Order: sequence, then C-alpha cells, then structure tokens
Amino acid sequence: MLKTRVRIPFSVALRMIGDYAGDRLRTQLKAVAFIVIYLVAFQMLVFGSAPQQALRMAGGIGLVVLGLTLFLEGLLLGLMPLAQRVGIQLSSRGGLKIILPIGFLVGLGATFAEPAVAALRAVGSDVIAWEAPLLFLMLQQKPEWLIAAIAVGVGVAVSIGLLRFYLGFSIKPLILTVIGVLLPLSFAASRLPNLASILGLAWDAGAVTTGAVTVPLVLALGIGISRSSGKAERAVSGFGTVALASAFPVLAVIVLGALLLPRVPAPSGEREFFAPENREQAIYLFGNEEALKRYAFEHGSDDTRILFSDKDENVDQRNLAEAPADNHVRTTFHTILRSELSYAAQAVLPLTAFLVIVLLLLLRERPRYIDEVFLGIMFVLVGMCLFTTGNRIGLSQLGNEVGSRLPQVYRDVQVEKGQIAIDNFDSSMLHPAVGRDGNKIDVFHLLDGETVQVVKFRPEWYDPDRLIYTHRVQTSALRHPELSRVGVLLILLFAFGVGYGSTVAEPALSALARTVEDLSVGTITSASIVRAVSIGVGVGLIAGVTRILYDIPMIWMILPPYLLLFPLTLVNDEDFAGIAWDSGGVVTGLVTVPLVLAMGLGLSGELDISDGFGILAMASVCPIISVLIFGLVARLRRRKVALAAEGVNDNV
Amino acid sequence: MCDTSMIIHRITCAISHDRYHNITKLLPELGIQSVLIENGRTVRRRRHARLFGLPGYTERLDNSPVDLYQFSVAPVISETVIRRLADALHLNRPGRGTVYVQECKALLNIADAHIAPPDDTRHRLPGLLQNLSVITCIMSMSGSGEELAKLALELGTGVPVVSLGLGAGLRERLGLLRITVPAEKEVVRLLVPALDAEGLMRMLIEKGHLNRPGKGFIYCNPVLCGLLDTALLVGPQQHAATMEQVVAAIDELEKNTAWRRRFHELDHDAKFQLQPHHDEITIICKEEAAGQYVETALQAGATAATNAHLQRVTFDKTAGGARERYTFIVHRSITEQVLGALRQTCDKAEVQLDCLEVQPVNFAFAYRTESQ
Repeated sequence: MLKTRVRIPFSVALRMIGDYAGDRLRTQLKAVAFIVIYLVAFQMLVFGSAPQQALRMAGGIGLVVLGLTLFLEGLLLGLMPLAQRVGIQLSSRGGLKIILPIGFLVGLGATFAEPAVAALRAVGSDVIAWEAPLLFLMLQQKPEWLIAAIAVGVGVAVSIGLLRFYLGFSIKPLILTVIGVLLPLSFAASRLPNLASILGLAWDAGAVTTGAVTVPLVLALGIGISRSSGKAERAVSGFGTVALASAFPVLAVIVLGALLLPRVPAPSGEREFFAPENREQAIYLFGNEEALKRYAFEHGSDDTRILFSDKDENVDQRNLAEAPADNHVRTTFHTILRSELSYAAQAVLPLTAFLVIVLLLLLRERPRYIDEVFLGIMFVLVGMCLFTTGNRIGLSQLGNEVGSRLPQVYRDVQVEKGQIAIDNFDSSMLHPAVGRDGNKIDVFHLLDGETVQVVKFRPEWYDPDRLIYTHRVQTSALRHPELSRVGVLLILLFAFGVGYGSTVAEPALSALARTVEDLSVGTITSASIVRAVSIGVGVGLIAGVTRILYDIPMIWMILPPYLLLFPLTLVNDEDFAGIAWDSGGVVTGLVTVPLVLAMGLGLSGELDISDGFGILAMASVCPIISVLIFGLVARLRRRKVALAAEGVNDNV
Repeated sequence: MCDTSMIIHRITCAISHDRYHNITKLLPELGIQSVLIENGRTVRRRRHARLFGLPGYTERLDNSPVDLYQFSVAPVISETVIRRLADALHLNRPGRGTVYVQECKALLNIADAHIAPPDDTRHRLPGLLQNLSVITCIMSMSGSGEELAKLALELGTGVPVVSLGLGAGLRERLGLLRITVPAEKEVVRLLVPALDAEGLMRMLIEKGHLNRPGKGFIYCNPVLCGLLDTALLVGPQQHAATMEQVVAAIDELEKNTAWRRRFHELDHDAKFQLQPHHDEITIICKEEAAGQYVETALQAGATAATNAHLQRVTFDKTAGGARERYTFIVHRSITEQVLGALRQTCDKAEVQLDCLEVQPVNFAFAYRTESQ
C-alpha cells in the first residue's frame, strides 16, 4: 500500500521470522501430539511391541507437522482472503447471474480436483459383482459417472449455498428440506436390494467430497458474499454451504443409482449371476464378455469356471496367472514426494487459478496483498505435499500398523512377536508327541538363551531345500479369558481415539474454527469448536465401527441421528445451525480420511464384510449433533448469565 | 459530494446479540434510516459456587456476544432518541447494555437521521448520566484484550466491550515480512466517569504494560451523556439487591458518577506523559475500498490506523452491506492537513466515503520510539 519501506536489519528480520514460525509450529505440534502418542501407546500397551522403522516414522511425523503448519498458514494467508475478496466483489458487482454459475463451477472443480473418490473406490475394492451388482457397476466400471454425479451435486449445492447468502434466507428450512427428502428416499432405497447396497457409498460420498481445500475456500467465498450483501443479519453468517455440499451428492448418487437400476441384474447367488439366461445383464456390468469371463475366473468358484470353460476352450486356468497382480515396488522417499506434489498441485492449483481469473478478468479487481496471496498459495501447495508425504511414511503407516492388527484383538488369534530363523535344521531331531485325542504331532527342543523349550513343529515353516526352519514366536493377543468382549471394547476405544485425535489435527477444521472465533469476536472460542467436533467424530467412528463389526444395515445407521438432527437444528440458533452442519463436512479431510479408511479397510477386510462404507458418513453426522448440543448448552449458559446480570435469577 | 461541516451527535449502543430484532424494530420508529453494526463481546466476572457443595466460590471471566450499534442524529433530537432507546430496552437496569452520545464534527455524512422522532411523553425518562468519557484501548497481542478487560473489571467502573480490529501503518511498510506481525487487534472500550478517566488510563497503561513497545495504545474521548452497564459480577449474592443495582440506583439519583470517584488530582504522578491535543478522524466506506484513503492519510502525517468491519443495515431503500471503518488518532496540529488530503482524495476517487468525522481526544498514550 505504501511505497516507503521500512528497512529491517537482517538479524532482526530473522528473529521475527523465527518467532513467527516457532509459534505456528508449536501450535501444530500440539494438535498432532495426541494422535501420535495415542497410536504409539496403543501399539505398545495393547500389542506389546514398538513401532517398526521408528526413525522413518518419526521423520514422517515431523513432515506432517511441518506440512500442516504450512498448509494452515497458507489457507489463512492466501486462499481464504482470496476467496473472500472474490465473494465480496461477486456480490457487490456480479449479482445473481454471475454468482450462480461461479458457485456451480467451484463445486464442480472442487470435486474433480480432490480425488477423494479414489478413497471410496479403495473401500469398495472387495465388492463382489453378484452380491451388489449396482455398487459394483458404479464403483468399478463407471467411476467417471459416479464422479460426475457427485460433482454435479456439489456444484448445485455450492450455488444454492451462495444464493442463500446473497438473498439472506435461513439455512434451517433449506437443510431440513434437503434432509427431509433424503431420508425417505434412502428409506425407500433400502427396501430395494440393489439400491440398498449403494446407500453406504452415497452417504460416504457426501462426506468425502468436501475436502481440505474445498471447505475453507467455499467458506470464505460464502462469508464474503454474505458480508457484502447486507442482508445477512446475524453476527456469524457465511456458514452452511459445506453442509449442503455434503448432502446434495448423496441425492445425486442415489438418483444415478436409480437411473442405472433397470439394466442391472438383481443381487443373486453366484450360479444365478453367471447363468446363461442372465448373461446379457451380467455383460452390461462388465462392458464386454471377455471382461466378464476374466472376472469369473478371478473371483468365481470352480463351478463358474467350468461353466465358462465348457463354452470356450481358450480361457483356461492360465488367465488366472495373468491376472494383474499388485506390484509392490519399494517406493522411495523421492518418488512419494513427487507423486504427492502432483496430487497437491491438482488439488490446489486449478481451483485457485479459477478464482484468480474470476477476480482479475471478470471482476477486474486485484487481491489486496497480492504477494501474501501468492505466498499463501505456495504454502498451501508445499504444505499439502509435505503433509501427504509425511502421512504416507509416518502417520498413516503408524495407523495402518495398529489398525491392521486390531482384528487380531477382536478375534482370539495369536499375535506374532517375532521370528527366529534356525539354520541347518535337521529333521531327524524331531520327536513324536501325542495329543489327548490320540493325534500324533512332531515337536523339537529349542534352546533359547538358557532355557530349553518344547516347540511344535510346523511343516509349513520348514524349508527343506535350504534347511532353514523359521520359528515364529507367538503369544496370545491379550491374556484374558473374555477376550473378544475386551477386544471389541478395545476396538471401539481405538476408534474413538483415532477419530478424536485426527480431527484435532485437521487443518480444514482449524480454519473453520478460527473463522468462527473471529466472527463471533471470541465468544465462541476455536478450541471449544474443535473439541466439540472431535468428540463428535470419535463417537461417530464408534458408531461406524459398530456397523462394520455387527453388519448393521446402513439405513439404521442413518435414520436415528438424522431424525435427532431435525429438532436439534430447529431449536438451535441460526449461527450454530450453520456452523454445526458445516463441521460435518469439514472433518473428512487430510488427516482423518487416510487414518479412518485404514481402520475401516482393516476391519472389514478381516471380517469378510463386502464393504467398509458408513464409517465416514457416521464420522460426519455425529459432529453435527455434538456441535448442535454444544450450541444449545452455550445458549442456555448465555441466557443464564444475561438474566443473572440483570438480577432476575441469582442461582447461577 | 456534499461538502459540509456540521455538528452531529453519534450514538453508540452495546446491546446483547439476542436483542437484535428489538432494536432493529425500534430504530426505524425513531426515524433512524440506517445503522452500523459491529460485532463485539462484553466481559463480566462470573462467580460460581464450588463443585460438590465445597465452601467458597470460584470466579472466571464470562464472554457474551453483543452488537455495537452506531448511528448519528441531529443534536436537537439526540436526547429524545437516547431516552426512548434506553426506555424501550431498559438500559437503566444493570446488565442490559451501554449507550452513550458523543459530539462529532461531520465533514461528510450521508445524512443518517434528521427527522425528529414522534414526541412521545408517555415513556418514563431514565436518568441519563452526564460527565462521562470513553476509554478506547487498542491492544496488539491477541488475547491481551482479555487481560485488560479483566483489569477494567477489577477497577470496577463499568463493563468493558471488546471488539476486533486490524492495524494498518508500520506493518504495511515491512514488505512481505509483515506476515510475521499479527495485524489483529483487540479493541477494548470502557465507559467511565470523566473525572476518573485520566487516573484509570494511567492505571490501565501501567497494568496493561502499554508503556512497552508493540503493546498497543490508548485514548479517551469525551461523552455527552450515557448509561453504564454496571453488572460487573454475575453470581450468587446474599442481599436483597446486588451491589450493581445499588450503584445504578444511586447513579440515577445523582445523575452523575462523581460520588464514586476513585482518583484525585494528587494521585496523578508524572510516570506516563499522557498526550493531550489529539483528534480522532474516522472514515467509513464500502468494504475493501478504503485503501486509497488510508494511504492518503498516512502520507499526510497520520502514524497508524485501526480498521474494523461493520455491517450497514438500512431501513429504507438505500444499499446496506459490508463497510469498513478506519480510525486515525492524529495530533491536532495536523488534523486539518489530514482532513484536507482526505477530502481531495474523495473528490478524485471512484468510491465515495460514507462518512468522514472528527472528534476531539482528551488524552492519548502510545509507546514512542526515538524515530517518532
């Protein structure tokens, strides 16, 4: 603004930057500390083993902290002011004709930019074609249709949300109508077997689409519009769009499912699915007959293979061997960093560029501090890249390590504590032993340090060619008679901790909470919002994991919380209604999704459940409830204080 | 541009956020066409009985959201307006809110209200207090407003009102290094008896460490009349009336607060040199359009500006929306120079100012470096 610059000596400047960076880093360190300590403690206390590759992991966690710091600072410095300025200018210069299409494009772009749908595909990778044909079709064969449906849903949601700020009407009727349509629709869908299978996907899609970059952007855009429209009367307005952006995709996915439904076979047994009379519908799922055959050989039973082999001699067992196997190439730090950088660029740059173009060309305005905005975008980019890299080698590694071993706690299985390779193992050392039922087994004596123990010989661990016997030392997961009940409790405890801890560290939530604190002039502190949301997510994960453990139909997970939300939303203040519904969309961001998905995948994979959907949907509905309750409590307290201050009621 | 210079009365009113609808219904009835609203909070001490019936009390600060309403009226009607307002909202009761009137010279003002409100003699006229001052303290460190508010509560004058602001000035001249200096300020406003203002300011400076660099600055404006919120402490008490109610009743009887004067001339030591002869220049315009004006004012000699976001709510057909207010505290010797520069810019600029007002400052205090 001013041309006369003040010259700051280099040493002073360095100290200023040091203070600034140190302060931010400390804050993030605190935010991440809980989840890290929790995971490590869980691993040490429950599984009784230290994390593997601890140094690499610590490095990863360091990157996570650095990345989160940069990302959040970049959001606050660059992206949010940019979006807010676009919002202010849009509303004062653009009018509805520009706001609506731009809202739609931002929503559309956000969905394509943040490929969170990939996460959904990962969850549904074990879906069996004949058990849930529609789900299979949407996830595996027509993912581009799924993404397009979600994108349109988000686009419509953002434009309606911005329209609301411009015209200044209440969020409550809007949200209640949307949910009022969604619930009966979901209930009706749950009665049709094919549509029932996509309910989990639909509700998770809503939660997933609102990612780490989208949320702050849409939030700031909304605040800008509502601030400058002059019609928003409340102190804390600008919230509510993220909530719509989580609800509309649900509708879009269900509608897409309903459109695809007539051509898709009904869920059936394997034999029926591959039967020649149903062949035409089955082929539709795969596009062509070749793909169907390949799938039949990869996933079908022997009967199915024979069914196909009879007709076509060319397809034989060799096809199985040719099936694409996962190539576990050892990824180096370098390659991870490069791939994450391109991911971050994809998530950040197109949307930002779009906003800059709108501001510069359409509105003919400049950002107030162009250098700050540029630096902020760089921070976001580098921060996101460092974070996701650190996450892959550190945090989610730790999460995976614990998450994948969780089912062992639940099921009464043995936990490996390590292995001893015995060279020159001579099978003549084996002794016969007999069990109570008269079965004979082989045992041998193992000298372990000073003690000699009798060990059962397992032929599968013996490599006769190299004369190596690999002995795996095992102990019971928990030395407790009622293992599985304790196991379930432990899993639920773990789920709560992961939900709570990862949400505390979530940068999008931080950005939202700080915005709330600023707009409410500190009467609603950011720490209290973060706490309320995190507790909600923790409880939500407990609910989601319960669904997976006991295979509860999705509709019974959705209905009760949303029915509870109706009265809670109605009685709450407008401000809190918007904030609460937004925080539902905020939580599924950078930190939460990978950790939660790791857990969900681990569990559903071990428990032979076809899909692990629902965890994210639960993780996004429960915080709405917790924030609404927090809002009610805060209002009651405020009333009490106000009355007491006026001397009306002295029993505070 | 209407290039006039007229005396107006600026009415500021801090009322609980819950009464938004009451006040926006009342103002058009009083002939007010538009009002500027700023978000803020009041801080009170709240006393709880200890948990599990343990003896004694615990105390903490309690924040409640308030809206700061600001509008200008012609001097002849200001008293009627403020009395109607105070009556309708029961502002003479502690805990209901604060209202005060200040005299300003408006150089530009898209006339807010010149219509005399319907003369209504039925309402009871609450006793307005005379001889007040408003102390405004702009704290640089986020969270330090809380400490100052606590201090103000301990001094027991009235309930402080805290709002947020952004600083502009030196920060802008640092280049990109400015991101390391937080721009957020907490603005604490405190309505106090005029006689105590100087003593309280000295106390706030000392306890709030405003005599150290980078902490913030403080100034004090005269107030014509007003009503204080004296509900400083919320919680259980043993008497038929709270101490706040007693204080408010005596205030009303005395029509001033001189009877509870805290400081005397002799108390004033020369530790801090309070600076007299300053003016407060306020500009208000559409959000994000003030850059040019701020630059002009800074070049014309103003040292720093404080920015606040406001919402302009209109009751007629004119456009409302986001506004921003910049406040400059300048020495009286350069007031005309800054005003002249601002007017010149206003003639050339694309975006017009909504208002340009000057108001005298009794005392100001800021840490001064040698360069200044």
